[in-house]
Amino acid sequence: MNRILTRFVSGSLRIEIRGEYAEKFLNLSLTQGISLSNIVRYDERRISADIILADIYRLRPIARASHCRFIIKRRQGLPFILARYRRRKLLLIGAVVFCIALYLASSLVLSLTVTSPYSLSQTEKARIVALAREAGVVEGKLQFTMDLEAAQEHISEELPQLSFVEVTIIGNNVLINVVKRVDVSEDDQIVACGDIVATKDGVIEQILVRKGTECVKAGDTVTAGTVLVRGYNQGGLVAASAIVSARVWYSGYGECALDKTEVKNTGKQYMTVELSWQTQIKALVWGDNTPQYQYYYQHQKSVPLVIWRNIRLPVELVITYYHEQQQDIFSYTPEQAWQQAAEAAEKNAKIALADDARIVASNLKEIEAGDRIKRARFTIETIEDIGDFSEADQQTQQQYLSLLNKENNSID
Amino acid sequence: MKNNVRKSIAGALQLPSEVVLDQVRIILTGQNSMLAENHKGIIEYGRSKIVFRINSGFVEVLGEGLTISSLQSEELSISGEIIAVCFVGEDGR
Repeated sequence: MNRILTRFVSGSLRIEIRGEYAEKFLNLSLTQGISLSNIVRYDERRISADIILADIYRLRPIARASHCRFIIKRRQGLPFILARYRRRKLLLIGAVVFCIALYLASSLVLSLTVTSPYSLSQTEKARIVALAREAGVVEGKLQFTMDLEAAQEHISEELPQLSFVEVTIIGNNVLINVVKRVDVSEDDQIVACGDIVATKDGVIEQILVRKGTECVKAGDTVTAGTVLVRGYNQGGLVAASAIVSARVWYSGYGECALDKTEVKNTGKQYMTVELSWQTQIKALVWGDNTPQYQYYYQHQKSVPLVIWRNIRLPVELVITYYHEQQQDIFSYTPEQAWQQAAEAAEKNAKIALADDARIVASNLKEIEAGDRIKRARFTIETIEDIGDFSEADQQTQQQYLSLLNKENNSID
Repeated sequence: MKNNVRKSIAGALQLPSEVVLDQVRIILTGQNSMLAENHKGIIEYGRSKIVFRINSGFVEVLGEGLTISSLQSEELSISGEIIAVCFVGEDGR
């Protein structure tokens, strides 16, 4: 096998030796260290044999000395193949182009698929796909130019209701695997001794105790964390349960300049690959370091070159992604700016608003800030349930037990 | 005389005699292939007869459709249908 490989790499020739003293030719070749193979005699005057390409020039004096002639019948091996392709450059270029085209075609992203172990609505799927596209994961793009981690982060940031997002590539398909956050229902929770505490600052409107001992009454002002209902009653320690309605105020601030600049991602990106030696010396191996976009942000990813298991080269690949951004400049009239500021203030005020909150009053107020900017404060007054269950620690439980004992003793 | 001394040394030291005495070593694989080491050159080559020189004379290989599949300075490989291998002395016996 080794010999066949050597012959192929160095190239071999099939020669025909003609003459009466072919044996002499063979012996002289041997003395010169030329090895021959596949020696076949055709007739009295003709023998053919294979020799290594490099030995062909050494055969001339041997042929002269043995009164023989030799002619080349066949050429085989790598040097001849290369020579053939050197002459047919277009074929070689075509083969290379074909391989590159095949590689690029197999690297193209043809579809985006959203999967989840739980059912997702079409709207949710469309939203996730749209977010992936915003982050540069687009059909028709090459896989290695896309930053999947950035897309993953972008989707996670924009959809906080997802607890897990994974963007992977399988073949030509980008697979976005997501898991929605599922809240454990109250029925599934383990009930232990605990209090009802205020989750927000407010003024108590009404308190309705199911279990436990109330500590506040209507009209009291409470702050977040105040115990509203204690987790004990005459029967002993309990998990307090109550509906505590309170007036709660929310405030939101918004502003809008008459000349406003907004920055947003266009979805276009490019990358550069650098070889880094001990994080200091860097050599560019792919792409262009000079920024191609007017507005952009960049982030880097390091890929250590692992030879085997934990054996790493001191060199690592540093991939830098440049994401294009565009700046939109808006000019507003004072009325439009005020409208924008008011909307922003209302939106900000409603961020912390509970779903079950009933709005009883709201107020929009302008804050004086000069000619070029409008500022607004939006206040909302709601009535909502501010009580939340909080498990009591061992110390609190001991306190409640001692309180219970005292109360029982005083009754006796 | 010289060969006898070499032979006794090779025997005593259990050295391979083909190395010490420069003798030919022939390996026959069935009837179709033969490998000869320590040959001294081709004397005659035909489809039915190949004669090569060895240290102590000649070796005649008789057969049909004989070809030399490899010929190197130390090694000679013959393939084809081998019928007989004869050792012929310098005097032709």
